Amino acid sequence: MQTSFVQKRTFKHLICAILLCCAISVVAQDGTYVEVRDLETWSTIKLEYKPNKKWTLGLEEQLRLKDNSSTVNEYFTQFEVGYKVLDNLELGGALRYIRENDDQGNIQGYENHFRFHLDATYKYKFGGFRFNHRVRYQNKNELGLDEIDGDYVKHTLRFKTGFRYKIKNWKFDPKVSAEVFHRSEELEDNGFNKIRFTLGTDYKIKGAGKIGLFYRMENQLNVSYPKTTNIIGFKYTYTLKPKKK
Amino acid sequence: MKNVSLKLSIGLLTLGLMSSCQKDEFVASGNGLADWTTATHSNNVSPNYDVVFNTSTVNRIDVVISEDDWQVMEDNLDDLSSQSSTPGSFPDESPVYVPCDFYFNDRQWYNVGIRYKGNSSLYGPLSSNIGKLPLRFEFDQFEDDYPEINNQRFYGFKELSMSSNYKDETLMRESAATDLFRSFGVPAAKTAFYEVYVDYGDGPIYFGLYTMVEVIFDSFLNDWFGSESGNCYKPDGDGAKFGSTDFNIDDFEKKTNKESTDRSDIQAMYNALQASTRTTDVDQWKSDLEAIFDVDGFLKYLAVNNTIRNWDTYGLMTHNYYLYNDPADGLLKWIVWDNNEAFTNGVGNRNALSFGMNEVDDEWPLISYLIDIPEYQTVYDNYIDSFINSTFSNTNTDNLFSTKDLVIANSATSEISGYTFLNSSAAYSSAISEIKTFCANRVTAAEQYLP
Repeated sequence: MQTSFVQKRTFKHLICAILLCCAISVVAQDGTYVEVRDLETWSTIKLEYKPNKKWTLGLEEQLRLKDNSSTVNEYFTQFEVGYKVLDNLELGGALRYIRENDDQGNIQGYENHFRFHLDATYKYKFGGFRFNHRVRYQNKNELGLDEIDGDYVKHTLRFKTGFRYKIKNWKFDPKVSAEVFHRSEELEDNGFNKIRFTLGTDYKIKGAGKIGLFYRMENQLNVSYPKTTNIIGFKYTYTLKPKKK
Repeated sequence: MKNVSLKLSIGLLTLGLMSSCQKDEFVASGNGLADWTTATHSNNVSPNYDVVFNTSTVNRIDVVISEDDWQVMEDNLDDLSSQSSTPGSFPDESPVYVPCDFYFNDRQWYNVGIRYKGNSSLYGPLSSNIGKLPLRFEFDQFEDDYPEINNQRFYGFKELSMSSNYKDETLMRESAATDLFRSFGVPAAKTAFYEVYVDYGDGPIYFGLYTMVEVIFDSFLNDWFGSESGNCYKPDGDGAKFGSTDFNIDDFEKKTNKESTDRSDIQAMYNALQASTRTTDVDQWKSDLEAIFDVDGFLKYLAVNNTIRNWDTYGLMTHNYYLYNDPADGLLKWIVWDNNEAFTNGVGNRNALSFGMNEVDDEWPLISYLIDIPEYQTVYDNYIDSFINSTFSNTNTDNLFSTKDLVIANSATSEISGYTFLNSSAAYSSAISEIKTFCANRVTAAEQYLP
């Protein structure tokens, strides 16, 4: 009994000493903390309208949370349009107004950004797979600032490839994709700067739209301390179609 | 079985979420940087004036900028330059920083921010295609992009300001004027001479002999006043006159305590200066002004400034000074800045102020109101008398210029075409003689002015 008590006390002292040493070593060393991983949540509601087989119009609102999904990162409204040129080829574009939460540095608060993108998607079937390849040009800039304020347009080229696999008698067909980002911006180290991998599925609710769920892993490229962002995404889409006469 | 699957799913999901959670990694300053040492690069040492502001020699720095970043600097300068709608009007925005590698004494500093700086000294030489332009370095400007340079310093200094000695064939006006101010007890930044070499893709180019000037809100405040917690302002614009017509508190940019917008001390100084008691109760007016502004320090500055004819500042120009609210006594104190136009009679229709300053109107009240008070006039005159008989005596100024000549002559006369304001080596020598004569004449002029 006595031995056990002494052992417990010794163990406690040992733990305290280790913690103290750790604390001292951290305080003594000059440096900074770099975020290398985060868990984000992206939630989207989208209204889609298909006036005919060629055209698709969409309006969506998205909220993105960061810092273990505890803080607003940004929210945006996006208007998009798609046009089916061929059975396998679709062209698209979108306008996005973004409110970004800048919670770093001396001047913090919500910033207004504007983004537009243009893209082309090629789709084809192969067995149970439905492949799609997309190339997108994206242009983003902060509103109210110009180059003289050090704010330059961020041009991004995005290359995405993926597939959906059709599983018989199963409502949750898996979707897999990968996408790389190539940034071009004044004053920045340009080149491939980000890669995304996404695994997801859609669930159609009869007469009440579609629910999408995905997990996405996003990695920074070509930086000393790359950050991995894990993203849980939820998307509800309601599609309007013209009434058949 | 169903239960086991559910538990397994929940377990995997929990594990997945846990391994996805936010994680920060500690990056030690200097991590992976071969030349990084505590004494030379860290923020844990006091500024090493002996190394950085060594006045007995000309130091050399080498700057390496990538071709792309150099192009960014040049394009940005073109943009800013095109904004100058009229000659002499300059854009409000500062030029952009780009990263460079900075070498000194065979040691490297990493991803240091470099940008152009200045007004007339920056935009003036552009029309004559002279590449010797004033520069500014900030050693941790890019720490967000490169966390391993967090709080990078240059022997304890965060920022360096490199004056190009614009329109100065002696290349020592900035340095000599500063030395005179400091020797006479007027707050002024330290200086040192540097040869600057820049390589932006074609090998090192000698950009010329620069004067490094200590950055006021970096190290100077602590070195001179023993504190940096007070408000420090860099006035620029018509408001900087403190005149009743154009006073604008927004013209007083804060360089310390930026997180607070409070500039009530400047407002209090303006209120005291412009108070009606100036004409109804002079003693009260003086007492109120002296409670917020270091009037004696300002008169001392004026005495030196007018003697050396440093015209590019208050009285003619609405910039080139700082104010510091010294916590030691709660007084706003005058700090001189940018003295490369000293020891000249002015330029164009801008004539350096006379000793009596009768030509200064009430839109420059710190001069016109103060000098109207006989007691202040006497203090000012006494400072001139003291200055010309001590710091500014002919012997002292001859020694000052000769000593600097010995240090910089070789570096000055080695400047290359396209990166110099010198017409010839002979022009340098004759400029040194002229500045000595100029100072001797100023002593005579002061003696004639004094009662």
